[in-house]
Amino acid sequence: MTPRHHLPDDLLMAHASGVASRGVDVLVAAHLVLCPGCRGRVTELEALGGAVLDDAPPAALDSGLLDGIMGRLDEGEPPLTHPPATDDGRADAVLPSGLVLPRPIRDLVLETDAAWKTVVPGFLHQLPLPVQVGEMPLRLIRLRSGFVVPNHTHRGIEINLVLSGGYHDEDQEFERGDVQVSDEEVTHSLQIDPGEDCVLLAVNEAGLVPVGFMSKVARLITGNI
Amino acid sequence: MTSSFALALSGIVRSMLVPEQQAALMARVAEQGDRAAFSDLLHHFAPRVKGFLLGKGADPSQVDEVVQEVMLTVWSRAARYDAARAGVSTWVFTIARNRWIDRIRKERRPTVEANDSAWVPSAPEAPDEALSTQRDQQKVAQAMAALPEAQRSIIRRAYFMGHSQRVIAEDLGVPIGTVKSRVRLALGHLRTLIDEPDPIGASS
Repeated sequence: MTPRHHLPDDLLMAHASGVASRGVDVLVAAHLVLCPGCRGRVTELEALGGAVLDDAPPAALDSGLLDGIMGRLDEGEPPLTHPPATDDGRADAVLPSGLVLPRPIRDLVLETDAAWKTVVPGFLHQLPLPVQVGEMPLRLIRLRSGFVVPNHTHRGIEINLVLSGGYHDEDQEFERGDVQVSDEEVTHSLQIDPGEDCVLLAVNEAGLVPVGFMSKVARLITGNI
Repeated sequence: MTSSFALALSGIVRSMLVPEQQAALMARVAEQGDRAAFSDLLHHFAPRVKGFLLGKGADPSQVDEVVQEVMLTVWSRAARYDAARAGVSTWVFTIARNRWIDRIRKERRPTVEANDSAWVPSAPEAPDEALSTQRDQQKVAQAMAALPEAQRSIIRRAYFMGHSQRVIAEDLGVPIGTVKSRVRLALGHLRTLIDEPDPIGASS
């Protein structure tokens, strides 16, 4: 089943043009694995990149550079410094069992020694994922079915990608593959659907701001996310 | 004139290739290993890839090596280039983008591939919907040229200079909402221009 809530154009474009921060890039890529429609949009945006490249003002080249390239044609493809990881199954040790996760997330889990941390005992746990220093944090969050994330707004952007189970806020329902983008203009509380735990991939630029009465749960969440 | 300026000037005069020309040359490279054809592609793309990387903030002392890696990758992978999936400049753009991420951002680009265990497949395309991607590439180029300058410049800044919307907003002194809506307008406009049916009798 394909998602109903998709990535906005600005995030797709950041991914297509290669300027997204690592956390955002991984989240976008994970959604693309689950969403044929957005893959089509990225293909269009890459074609735009091709047009921009053709249109680019040519930079001056040293006279030897082109001859040097022609002289190196028999060397074969230069290897990447950071090639794709080999999925050796180690990610399964730390991921919730039975959950089929897109490879961009599995690859990132392979790079971390981090363990799941308890935020609200019994209800909310998180696994921080490695990103570049100074960039927006990325984490897997697991929420118990029926749990309510108290009413809050955001400092900066929050992007949630649902990986299993689901949640709804006052307006919309989100299930596997769905993306919700929120910012300072959005105030909501999240109700986790009954039946199964909800696992999200989340980017939070600068954390949550509780609105209204600051319960103990709200204190725990805003202290940690 | 310095030799590099003279080279660049002669390069510019020699090297402007439209999508149809790129496709014909690429076919000769892929099918026959035609080095002269590759040299023509090289003269078009190398200066533009360099400009693209410099615009994104690549260190001038590193950029020549990345340009070499991009063009050697184009040569090495020529047999895998699939004209049904993307225009030549789009393909080269993605190679340049991925090398940028690998060398300059020092990261692996996340893998989006159909062999992913979580992959949700696309619906199979109806045969009459499969457009010629070279014609698409030409249309995208024409659509870009037809955009109002304010919209084209925002698209260029996002791709060519790698500016996030936040940076563009600060540079232009406008709210980020204005940048977002200009991007939305530009992309909507492009989609309309690209979706326009070809005039009757247009060559494919």
